[in-house]
Amino acid sequence: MEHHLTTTRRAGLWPALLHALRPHWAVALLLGPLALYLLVFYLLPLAGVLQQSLFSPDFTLEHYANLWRHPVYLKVLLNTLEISFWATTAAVLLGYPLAYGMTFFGPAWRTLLMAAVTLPFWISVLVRTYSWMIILGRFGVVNSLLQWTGLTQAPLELMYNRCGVYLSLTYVLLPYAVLPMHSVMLGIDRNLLRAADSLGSSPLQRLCRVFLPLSLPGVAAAFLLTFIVGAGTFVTPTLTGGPRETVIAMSINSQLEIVNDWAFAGVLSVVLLLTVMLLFALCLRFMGLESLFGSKPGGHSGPRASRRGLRATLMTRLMHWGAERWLDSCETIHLQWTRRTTQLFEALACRLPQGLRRVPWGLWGLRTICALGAAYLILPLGVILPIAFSNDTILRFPPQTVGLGLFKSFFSSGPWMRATMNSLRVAAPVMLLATVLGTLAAMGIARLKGAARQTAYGLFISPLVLPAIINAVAMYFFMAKLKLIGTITGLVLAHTVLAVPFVIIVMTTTLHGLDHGLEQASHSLGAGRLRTFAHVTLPLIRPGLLTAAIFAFIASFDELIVALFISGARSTTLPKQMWDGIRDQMDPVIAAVAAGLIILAVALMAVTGFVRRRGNGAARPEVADSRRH
Amino acid sequence: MKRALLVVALCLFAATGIAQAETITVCSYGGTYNKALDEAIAQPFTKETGIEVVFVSFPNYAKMKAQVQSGNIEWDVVEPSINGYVLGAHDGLFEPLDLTGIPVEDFVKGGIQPFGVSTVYYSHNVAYRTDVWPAGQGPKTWADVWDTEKFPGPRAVKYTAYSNLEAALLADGVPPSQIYPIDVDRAFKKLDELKPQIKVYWKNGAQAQQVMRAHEADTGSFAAGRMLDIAKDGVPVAVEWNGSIVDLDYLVILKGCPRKEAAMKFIKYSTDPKRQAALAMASYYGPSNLKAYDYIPDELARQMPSHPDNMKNAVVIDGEWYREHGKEVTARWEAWKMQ
Repeated sequence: MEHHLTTTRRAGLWPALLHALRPHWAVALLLGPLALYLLVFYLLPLAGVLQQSLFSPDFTLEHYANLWRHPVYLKVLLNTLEISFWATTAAVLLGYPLAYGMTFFGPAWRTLLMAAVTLPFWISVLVRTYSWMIILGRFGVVNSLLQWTGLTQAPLELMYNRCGVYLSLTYVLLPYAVLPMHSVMLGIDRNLLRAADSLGSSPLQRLCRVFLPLSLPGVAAAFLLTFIVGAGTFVTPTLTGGPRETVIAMSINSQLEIVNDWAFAGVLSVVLLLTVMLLFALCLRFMGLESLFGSKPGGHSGPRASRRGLRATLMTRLMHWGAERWLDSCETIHLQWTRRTTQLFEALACRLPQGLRRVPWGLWGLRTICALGAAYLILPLGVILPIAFSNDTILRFPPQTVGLGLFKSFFSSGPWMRATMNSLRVAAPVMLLATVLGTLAAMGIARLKGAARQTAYGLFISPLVLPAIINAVAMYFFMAKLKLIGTITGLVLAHTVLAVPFVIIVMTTTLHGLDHGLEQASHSLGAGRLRTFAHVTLPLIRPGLLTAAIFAFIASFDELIVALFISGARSTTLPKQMWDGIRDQMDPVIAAVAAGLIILAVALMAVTGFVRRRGNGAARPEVADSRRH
Repeated sequence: MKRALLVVALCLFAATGIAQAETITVCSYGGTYNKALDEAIAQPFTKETGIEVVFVSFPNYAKMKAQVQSGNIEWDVVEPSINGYVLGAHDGLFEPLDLTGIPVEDFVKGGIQPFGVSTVYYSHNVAYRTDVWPAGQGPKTWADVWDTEKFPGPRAVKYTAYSNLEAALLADGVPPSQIYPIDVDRAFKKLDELKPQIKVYWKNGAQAQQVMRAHEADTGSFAAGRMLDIAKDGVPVAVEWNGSIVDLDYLVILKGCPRKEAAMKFIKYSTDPKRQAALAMASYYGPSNLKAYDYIPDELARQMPSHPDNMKNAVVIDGEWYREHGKEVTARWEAWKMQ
């Protein structure tokens, strides 16, 4: 009000203000819709969880006190961190050679590894975990093999304990570890490697002294990202772990399902959220956010870029100092270690007969590891696919029959068809909404620089790293207030939040590679902003738009956890129906659905690949590929 | 541009719903039980009244409460078990039912309540794989399940305190009639003995079936109906009736339900002894309307929890005790499991 008065009194001020703001208008208009959307359907629900944990109905810290009163929850938190830490460590160790293979091997290997790493994303995590249960069971695949060969007498306990959780969780986390490392490796300047060669280093020295240090930011980022995903995991430890493998997401779920203590579910959610936010902040210190998600190649320049953007608060400085000391000491240890192992290997190599010495052991070793890694990633599919093409009425392995009966029962079953239609009815509007909001926002981000860019990008991407269970709890409270539980509208609104990050990632990359000269040329030839957008920008970014739309579609089509909480009888989605199918009756139709989704995935991958190849080189999402020398 | 418009039009088309006849949603326990409900009650009901019935699972208490509090009722008929019923009736979540015309005297004791009409008895029983111990020579009582020297091998039990505390006390020699009020310390002390042998805590009937089918455990505590169901498929499993722990399911209507009349019609329809018999035979759970036994072959009737012979040494779950102590017992149980 006051503001208004002053502007009317001093007529000259308002135009002046507008003039000063003018360059920001476009940005505000572009970022505004998405920012507003996320404020209402993402930040507000999250605030609701915080409120739930603090008010009942008046302000109280009583629920937080419960956290200390029952030491078991502290144990659950430690459990969560411990399980996630070791599974992440294993995933990063195995993922590193896989990422290396994906970057440097021949096209056939690259395609194979890329497919092995990305295909699991297309199958419900539930189905993948279930196939691990088939593999690890007391009379499962592994135990049957071991006993058949006579290696063991009694069945080994591979499941319902740490062993089962580590094997299945590492498998689930592996793709999350590989992709950031791959994207950083793509950005490593190969001339540096050639320089090492020409200076006479052995392949091992080259790897340890040049390549490894250059790829370390990728390793750090992969570790943190994977750790965050691992800490929020819910389905996998529920199914393959025992009671000692209770993780925090399971506790949240049981507070809601068994104990009916919503406030305490809120408390646990807040604890998990804080843990994840802390880790996410650490992530940013190590690496530019955009290179983390592969949308801005050249990851090794990331930390410096983000360092410049840091606000020099005491806390961040301290953290930074710590991280650098840590990296330094790592480097010292690693240098000493490298020197010793190199010497050891060289000594060993000298003893080998002349003929064997020429065999590229390193390469073969690496290929073996990559092949094993790919096999590990594909193994569960090997269990699911035979079941899919059978007529069995019970989910079991090996299946007793062969046929297309399960596909037939999928297409003739009312609930399955209804669920498929519901998924399409949710995913289509989500695709539209997320692509429009996300593309506008990405165009806004393209005009930002420094800290503002990082903040906007970080906010828009954050639903991707937020543990699904927190989002689900938040949406549940929120949608219940709006009376949208069990409605298609509720699912569309919630899924759009989860689909937006994918659009942002794809579109910022696309716009990053855009030749702005063409837009300027259009401007100078007299075309207005809108005209330039319609006739110049839009055709240029079309391939990226299509990719973004497909990702948004899949993000919704494949979403389980939120749907589990807010979908209802009339809005059951396909993943929810699969969850029920396994939980309620071990329905083998889920195998057929999984097989169908894999086929769909391969088809869509082929389409996006085709579009990319046809599209303008500058607009390729995988700019990094075109930068290869 | 035209293509873009087409895409928009298609999306909007996909987003609009399809008009339907009057439909009620029934929330029950899923899987084979929902199927049995559908075939025995819902399908003839639809034929008679024209009201469509959609099934969902699982009658989670928090979700019932959320629906009533938000006024966004999605489940028209819900089938909680006795604990959920007592808690919900206490919290005022249910509509009072129109009980006129329901023959209360035909039902088991407590089978007809102001807010709920019972459907089936189900029970937690001792069960074992008959390829480990021949039928009749396996664990017969809870004490046998606890006797890991005589009957070595991995156990599976339900993942809740409920039913396990009762089993532990029975194993410790407490007579069925003196289980309540539960001596919680004594029950946990007895549970400590079995703990090293408990390999799986199953979450629901389907998982219990899977555990026995895949032979993840040799014996333990299982829902009888689910075991008899897989025995029919050839899984070598036997069920013992001594000391069965029995629970009753009720059909209720959530407060503020907009399709109350149709829901009430469904509930009344379910009380018919013939329908109850069909449900019991399809699900292996015991009918709560004892008149239903007139329509069930004797051989089958002997495998049902509400059969008089099977009820002799049974413990019926005390919903009131759980309403008072459920929260603390659950917290203790969760901590105990993780030790």
